[in-house]
Amino acid sequence: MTELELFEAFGKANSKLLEESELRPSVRHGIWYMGAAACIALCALSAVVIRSGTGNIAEERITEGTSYDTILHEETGEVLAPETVCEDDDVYPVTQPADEADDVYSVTQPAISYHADTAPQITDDPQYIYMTTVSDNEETGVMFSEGEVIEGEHTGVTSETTVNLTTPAEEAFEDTELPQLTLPKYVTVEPYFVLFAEEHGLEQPFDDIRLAYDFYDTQDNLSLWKTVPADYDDLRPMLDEIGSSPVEGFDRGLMSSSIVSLIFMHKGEEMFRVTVGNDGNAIVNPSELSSYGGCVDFKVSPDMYDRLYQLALTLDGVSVSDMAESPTE
Amino acid sequence: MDDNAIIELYNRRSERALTESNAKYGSYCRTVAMNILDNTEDSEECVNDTWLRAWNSIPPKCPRILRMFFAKITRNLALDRLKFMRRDKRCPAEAALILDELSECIPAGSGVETELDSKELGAAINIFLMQLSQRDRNFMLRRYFFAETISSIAKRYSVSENVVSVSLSRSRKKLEAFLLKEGWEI
Repeated sequence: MTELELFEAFGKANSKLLEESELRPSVRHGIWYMGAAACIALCALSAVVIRSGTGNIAEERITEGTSYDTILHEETGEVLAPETVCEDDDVYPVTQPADEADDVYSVTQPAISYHADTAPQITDDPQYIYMTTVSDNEETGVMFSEGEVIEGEHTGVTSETTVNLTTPAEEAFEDTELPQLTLPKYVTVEPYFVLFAEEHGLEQPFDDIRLAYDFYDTQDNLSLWKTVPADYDDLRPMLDEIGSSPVEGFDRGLMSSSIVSLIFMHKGEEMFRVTVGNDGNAIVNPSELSSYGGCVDFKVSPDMYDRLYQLALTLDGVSVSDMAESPTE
Repeated sequence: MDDNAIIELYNRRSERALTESNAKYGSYCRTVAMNILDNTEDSEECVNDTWLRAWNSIPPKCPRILRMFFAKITRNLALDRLKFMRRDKRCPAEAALILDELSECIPAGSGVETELDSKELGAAINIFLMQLSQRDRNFMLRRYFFAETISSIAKRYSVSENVVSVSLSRSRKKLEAFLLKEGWEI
C-alpha cells in the first residue's frame, strides 16, 4: 500500500458522510460549548475532580444514601463533594433527604474520569480546554467541555483513571473571558443503559430512531446510505440482545465491511448510534453533541446484522430483487 | 435547478444537463480539483471531464447526492493527474503534505507484498470513519477527501488550527492501528 493508494481510498468515502462534513456547526453547537471554559475554571478553582462518562444528571434531587462523586449547586456552582481527588471507594455522604432539600444540584455519578499530570492548556478557541492525560501508562489528549469529555481518547481509559486539575484557575484562564456559568440541562445515561431504560427507571433520552443501512453500487463503488424511520418497539428485542453483551476494554471490535446503524435522535440531533456489523460485532458510538461516554463494543449473534438489514428493507419497502435490479435506488 | 431536474436532463439525454451541472456545481468541482492540483488549467480540464463522465454514467446511475457524485468524479480525475505530476516531480505542495501525512498511517507489517484491493480498502476506510466521532470524521474527510488545508478546516468549523492538527494526528494513529488490525500491511 502506498500513501497515494490510501489517499485514493478516501475517494470511496460514503457520500452521506461527505455531505455531513459540509455542514458547519450550528449556532446551538457553539452556544453549547460556551460554558466549557467556565465549568473547567470552576472545577480548577475548587481543585476538584472533573468527572465524565455518565455525565451530569440535571435537576436530579440528591437522594439520601446515594453516593455521588461530585455535586455542584445548579445556580452558584458550589462544590459540595468531594474536596479532593476521589478514589473508587470514596462515597460522599448525603445526609439531607431529597424531600427536605431546598436547592437543586447537578450531580455526577461515579464514572469514568481522567487524571491529568499537566496543567490544562487553553486552546486558541476558548470553547475548548486541552489536557494531556495519563491512562494505562499512555499519554493521551482529551478535550473537555462543561465538565464532560467531548472529544478524546476513550480507548484504554478505565474507570480507575482520574483527572485532577491542580492549576489555579487564575493562571489557567489568565486571558480568558469567562462566560457566566450555566450547567447543561439534559438527561444523560450510558449509551447502552438506554437499552435498559425501564430497568433503571430512566426516561428514553431520544425521541426518534432511524435505521440506516448501506450498500455499494459495485459498478462504480458509489456508496448509498439509506435511512428509514424505525419504531422502538420493533427494535427493542434486538437492542436488549445487543446491550446484554458489552465487551470490556473498548476493543473496537467492529471490523465488518457490511453494517447497519441505529441512529438515536433527540430534537433532530443525533445523540448516538449503534452500529452492527455482519461479523458478530457491534459498537455504540456517541455523537459529540451528546453527553454520553465513550464507545462501547458488543458481541452479538452472527445473524443480528441480517435481522436488522431485513428490518430496514421491510421498513423501506424495498425487496431484495428491487435492489438487484436497481442497486442505486 | 434542483438536482432531480438535472438528473432528469441526463436521463433524457439533453445536453442542457451539462450546462446546468456546470452552472450549479462547476465552482464546487473546480475547488475540489484545485485543492488537489493547485493548477487552474488542470482543474478546469478535470471539471469539464467530470460532466462527460457523468454524461456516460447517468443513466443507468441515479446518484442520490448529486454534488458528491460530481465531487467524487472530479477527485478521481484530479488524482489521475496528480499521479502524472508526481511522476514528473511536480507534486503540488499541499498534496505532497497530505500524502506525507498519510504515509504515517501505512502500517509496517510482515513485508510480504499483498495485492491491493482498492474496493476493499475503500470499504475499510468507510468502516474506520464510522467509528470516529462526527467531529474527527469531518476533519478527516475535509483533509483527505477534499484535500483542504488545515487553516480552511479550522475556519469551516470555527476552531483553532491546533485543534484540527491534534485531531487529525490522533485519527491518523487510529487509522494506522485499524489498518494493521484489518491486515493492511505493506
